[in-house]
Amino acid sequence: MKFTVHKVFFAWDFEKEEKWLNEMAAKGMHLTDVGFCRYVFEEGTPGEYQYHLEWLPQLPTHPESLAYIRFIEETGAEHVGSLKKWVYFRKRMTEGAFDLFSDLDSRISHFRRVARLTGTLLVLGSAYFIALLLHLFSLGRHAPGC
Amino acid sequence: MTQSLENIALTEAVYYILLTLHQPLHGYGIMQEIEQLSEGRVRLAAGTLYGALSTLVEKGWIKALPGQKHSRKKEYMITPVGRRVVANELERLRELVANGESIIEEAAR
Repeated sequence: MKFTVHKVFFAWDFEKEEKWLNEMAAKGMHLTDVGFCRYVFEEGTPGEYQYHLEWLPQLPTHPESLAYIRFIEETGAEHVGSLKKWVYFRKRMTEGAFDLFSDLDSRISHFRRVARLTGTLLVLGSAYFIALLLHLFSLGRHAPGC
Repeated sequence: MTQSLENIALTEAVYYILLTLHQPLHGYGIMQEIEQLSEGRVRLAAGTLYGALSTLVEKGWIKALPGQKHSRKKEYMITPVGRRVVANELERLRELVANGESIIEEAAR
């Protein structure tokens, strides 16, 4: 049986998100699709899958990303879904240990990519906030009666 | 003074990747071979391996083999430059081991 959960995770919290997905999987609820703040689960055997997510340097439809996703799939993992540059992978527990990164360098470079994304979001968010303030300010000045 | 890239110490992962690629292997094959060689001690994760393979291809130490009709999986193989790099590394490791052994044995006497 499939069901959808709506939940918000911030980009810098992707490890928390990953942990949550794995906790769900341990309870027999396996992610089968992702959308914006939307997670589709399918009930199955508890602990059947382990999940990992990664922020790619390019969109999942980019040839380099496609090559990467295919490579990961060749190692026995499954590409569950993507959202922007986030890709979600899972692998059956019976197929052995599953990790995307096994050394510090590759883990750090992924963290840097996520940090850059977070920074971009922060800048965009601040710009939006400032624009909003300016807009409110100008509304205040031009509002009739002021 | 220009230091050749080939004199830089290799990481364990790179060393083992270069070793296993003395025969043509695809990504998953490399992971399994390394795990076997190291008796389960070194487990390369897929994402890390992918990055390492791209870097090594860029450096010209390994090359991707032209794809076969039957298999979609890309296979890799070490290049002559790569072989030289491993040979240099082996020499460096021998020196490390020899010095380590002689000094520790000396100290224990």
